[in-house]
Amino acid sequence: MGYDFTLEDRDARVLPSRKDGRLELEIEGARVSATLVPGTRSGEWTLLLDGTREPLFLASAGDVHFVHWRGQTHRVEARNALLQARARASRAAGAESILAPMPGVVVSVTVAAGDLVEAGALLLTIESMKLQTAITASYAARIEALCVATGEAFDQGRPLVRLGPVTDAGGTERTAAAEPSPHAGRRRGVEPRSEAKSKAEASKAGASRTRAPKAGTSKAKASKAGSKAGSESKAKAGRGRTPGKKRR
Amino acid sequence: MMRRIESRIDRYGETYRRFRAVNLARVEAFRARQRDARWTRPQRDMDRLAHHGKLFVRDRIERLLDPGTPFLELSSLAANTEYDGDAKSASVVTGIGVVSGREVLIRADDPSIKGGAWYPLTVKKNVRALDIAIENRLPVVHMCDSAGGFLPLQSELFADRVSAGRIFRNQSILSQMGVPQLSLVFGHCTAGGAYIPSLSDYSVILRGNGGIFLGGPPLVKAATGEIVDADTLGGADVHTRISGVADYAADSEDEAILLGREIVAQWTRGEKTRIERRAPEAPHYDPEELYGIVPDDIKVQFDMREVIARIVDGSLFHEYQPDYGTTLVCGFAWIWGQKVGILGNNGVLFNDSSLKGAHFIELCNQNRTPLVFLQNITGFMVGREYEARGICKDGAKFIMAQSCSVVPKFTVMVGGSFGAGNYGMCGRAYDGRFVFSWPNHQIGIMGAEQAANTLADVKVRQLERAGKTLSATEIEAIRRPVLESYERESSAYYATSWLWDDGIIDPVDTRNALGIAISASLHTPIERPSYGVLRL
Amino acid sequence: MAMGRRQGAGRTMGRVAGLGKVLIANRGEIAVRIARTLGRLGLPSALVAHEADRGSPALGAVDEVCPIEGPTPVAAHLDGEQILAVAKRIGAAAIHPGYGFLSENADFAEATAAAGLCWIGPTPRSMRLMGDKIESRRFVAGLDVPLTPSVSEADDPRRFAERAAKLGFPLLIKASAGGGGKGMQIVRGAAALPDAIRIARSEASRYFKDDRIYAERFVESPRHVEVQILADTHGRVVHLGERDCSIQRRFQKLVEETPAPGLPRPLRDAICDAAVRIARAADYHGAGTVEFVLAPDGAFYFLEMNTRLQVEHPVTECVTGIDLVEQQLRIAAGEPLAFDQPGIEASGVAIECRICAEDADHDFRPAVGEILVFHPPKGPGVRFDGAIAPGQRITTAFDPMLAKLVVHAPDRASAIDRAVRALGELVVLGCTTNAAFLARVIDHPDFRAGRVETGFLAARAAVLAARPLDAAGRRVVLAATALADRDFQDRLEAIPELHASMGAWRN
Repeated sequence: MGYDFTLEDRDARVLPSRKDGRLELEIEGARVSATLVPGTRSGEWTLLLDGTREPLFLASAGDVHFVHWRGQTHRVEARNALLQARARASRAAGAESILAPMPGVVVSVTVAAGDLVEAGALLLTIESMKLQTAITASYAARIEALCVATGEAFDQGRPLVRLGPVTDAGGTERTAAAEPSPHAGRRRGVEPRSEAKSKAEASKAGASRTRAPKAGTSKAKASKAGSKAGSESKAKAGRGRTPGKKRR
Repeated sequence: MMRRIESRIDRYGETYRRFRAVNLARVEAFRARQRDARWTRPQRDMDRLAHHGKLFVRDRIERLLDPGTPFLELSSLAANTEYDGDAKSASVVTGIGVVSGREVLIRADDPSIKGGAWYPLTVKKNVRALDIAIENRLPVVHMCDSAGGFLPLQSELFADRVSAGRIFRNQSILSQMGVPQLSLVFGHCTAGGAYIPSLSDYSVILRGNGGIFLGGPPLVKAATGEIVDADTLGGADVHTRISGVADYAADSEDEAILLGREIVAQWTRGEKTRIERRAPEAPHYDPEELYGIVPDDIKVQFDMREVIARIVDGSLFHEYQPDYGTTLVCGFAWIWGQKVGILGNNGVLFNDSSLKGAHFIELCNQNRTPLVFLQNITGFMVGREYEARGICKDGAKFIMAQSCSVVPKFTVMVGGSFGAGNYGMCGRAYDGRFVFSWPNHQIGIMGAEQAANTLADVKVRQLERAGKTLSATEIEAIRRPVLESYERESSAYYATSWLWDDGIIDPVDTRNALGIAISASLHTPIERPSYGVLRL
Repeated sequence: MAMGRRQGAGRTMGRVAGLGKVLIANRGEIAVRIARTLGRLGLPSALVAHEADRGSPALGAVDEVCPIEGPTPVAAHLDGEQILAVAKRIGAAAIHPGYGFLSENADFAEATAAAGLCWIGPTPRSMRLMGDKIESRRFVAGLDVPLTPSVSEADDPRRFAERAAKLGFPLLIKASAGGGGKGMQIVRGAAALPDAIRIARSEASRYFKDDRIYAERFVESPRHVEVQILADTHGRVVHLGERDCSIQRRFQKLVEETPAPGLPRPLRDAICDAAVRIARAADYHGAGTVEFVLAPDGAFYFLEMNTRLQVEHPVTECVTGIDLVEQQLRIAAGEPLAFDQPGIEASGVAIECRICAEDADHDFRPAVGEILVFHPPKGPGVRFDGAIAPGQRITTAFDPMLAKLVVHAPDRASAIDRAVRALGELVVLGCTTNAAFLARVIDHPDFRAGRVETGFLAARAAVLAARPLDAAGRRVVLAATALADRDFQDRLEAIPELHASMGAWRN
């Protein structure tokens, strides 16, 4: 989204600002003036940072940037905050049903309960008004239950399949990024029955663990907002301002 | 081409130090009240928020804003003198900020106060926020999380011209004007509240906590006997899949806010009105010195040029008619690179200062230059000589020119605002785009002492006619309650509580507040000026 | 370029008689390397290429590209039958197998010869003899060359564990048919032995389709020293000096150099002499490498012989000025070596660093990506053997080695300085490489002091780990990134100047 980056496994925030009409960046709390001047070779640039010249090489592939500076190549990821929030929410959320968008008949079912699916994975195909429609997962999830079978007819709004959060035995989220799959986005155990079962059990255990920190955060937030002068002065310190103090 | 104001303040003098101590104390008192309004909540309410996984209203706003950009909060102390102080900031946060590069007005219900219920002054603040949006053509982001009208006070918030209905009327007008609105529904929007997302061009509703319904489950049960839970009645899935009342569903507040940012990024930015601009420059004199300039006593005069020097770019000022009507300082300056015409009081308004003011306003209208009024006024001069010279018709010219002015107007109450001086200098009634007040500000038909003395005098004369004479103690007994009531009701806190302004600001924040306000005002085109009949 | 630096020992530049078109049955940097010599000698070159090789500069380095297919890219490159058919179709006179893939496949060498093509490599007989770890040890044992005590499973499978334990710990369990470090296990006590045997056997079976294993005494803190051999078909066997290849990760070489640092002259001569004796006894033809384990006390033991061109051959070329690929071609064409042992002079120090698509800071896991920007290092004494080009996709289909940086300098300290500088100058964007890690390795005081052994990297993992950027460094990298990021630029332009100037002000 243009503000949040990850460098060396650490998140960083870069804010644009201006001073006397000139561009400035606030990087991890420090303000610097920065300009990129193109060089002659491909990917070659000179960064003018607060008056110093830093020759470097730079290239981007989508949201991933590579910077070669002083003999080291650094990989920087630009993070899309909305996608991250979605991923967090889909993991934190409980089961959710996909509802039939229109009345119809189930043509085929592509997944089984317990399957782990990627965002966009085909779950089932329905037919309505002589038109077949693919029902896909809108986020990475685990199939909690199938509510319909092949050949079954349904009305609009009828739950077709229930999706649950994706967690593994360690309680850590499994994301598409961690396990790239070249296939249709669908992940399924090699031994469907036994593995699906153990995954289901593991994810139950994992789910309760992932919820715990969320509640903790909310409580921390509440106490922050609830305390009086303390929280305000903290907020002030963060902005580097104190009432009544000189600030130019 | 402008010249720097030469400050005559002695920053090492005793007076400066004394004023400074008094004003720092005033600002600290203001900040303490503001902190309380912003952050102090009963633990029970915060627990309930946490239980529902809700963010505090100010955290929601911080996440919505573009990082590294300012937020001008409006009326942070609204309702501070009413409802036993329960309705902090009138239970709603409003302000102007930048979202996805667009200047927008944010209106956010505060569910940590009585579930976000609307008090009468909440309604007034909401209406005022949407008036600002209409006047300045500012897109609006609503953050909806309100239990609905505060029923014990329903008579004060429902039926009048600027009551709750005005909110939805304003929303409709905004849409008609082509100014987009977005609602982020974090909680319930019940009854009238349901129209806020429904009248918004775009809406996002949160799964779980979000709900939109004309009648909530208890009302439905009472009305028809139907038993239904809130989610089934008006939850995210119902409205984004079936009813079409809302456009997008989100699974977390974070997601809703980020989605909101993406939606705002789709809005076409309008052309701003062209005024004279140049690169911004900090004032030459430190704004912090304002604390040493404003006197400890409202009755003590001070030179408005010293205030101007600490608000405008480079402390540069082109003074108009420097030797005529000297109790009104007029001239051109820049605020954050935006050209403005400034009128500031340097004493009582006389005939000449009134004519000067009227003339300067007309110049700025022809010149398409926004006007900034710096009020510290006890009124127009009274007395036989001035009445004979026609102070009434000269004052009328000033009021007429100011009322009919078409350029954006901004008022800062830097001291007193008494009597008809308030009218000429663009008081609340004159539809200035924004009115801000300093903590030392006082306002009223007349000063508290004048009023107390006048009332005591009337009483004494009544009793004298009845043949009675009053002792000093008896006169004091009449004077004191009047004085106290006037002092209370003429204070900046009372004024801001009742939305007579758009908020008290720390004097050093004046430049930024005006900068943001002027920038926001330029979304609306400036018409050709015209005036009524001037009594010549 | 150091190669061909001087014309000594009768190194001829003339045409190679009797050889025609040469098909390179390989890919990547070694294909480019072989094609370069073929071009210089005026021999037509052809290259097999799978779909996954598309975009590789190797395809542009040869006269002819021949598509091959297979269920996987590696399978295609291992499909001898298909490759022979290609060779016949295009009228190739010879096949150069490079290293890896089919280079040590005696059956393929035999089939090549049977098809009437010239095999650029040793005879299938020597390949079979030296290719099997157990067979080759048995053979070498008769030549008065020291061997680490060992037992083979094949001799008495049921008592293998017992016999292995009797050798004394630590032990090394290896696959008989192995190579490249796969299937190797170090065992430090009897308790761990059964598991190690089981794992080694399953890995041997998985990688080499041959689950025979053997055990040998593991030499603590060993160095890996190998000798480059050239042998013609007229009975002349020479060595081109030794290489130290002790810097390894997961039993795979990462840095190689010649001469081996700090080796006393008599010891060096003894090792080289043993290598020549083995090659001569095996009736070896062509280029080959005899590998030894060198103990801290100066004792050395025969490890194995590689019957092909080695990855690290360029360091030898740099110091001797002899083009090993050219010599392979001449020997295969039946020419006698144009120089004898005294005619071979080595000068200076050469160091090779293997540039791999891997993340050295995360357990050397393979890295993938599309090459966006590539600038090789340049300058005197710097040779860069690679096949990297912008637009090329690096996948896990093949070995992660992308290129080799080889430097040559009069002395070791200058060579290290030169290599460190060149590694810093190498720009590969789009796919993580180990270049910076390699620079830290060779710049380490222990490496500079020549204190190398195969456990070097593991023992210094912590100090060799990348140091995180300091705050100022992060600012440089993040500023450049932000300014280049499209979304960030959008934001930059979107925020009104007044608000951007004001920053995160609150009233």
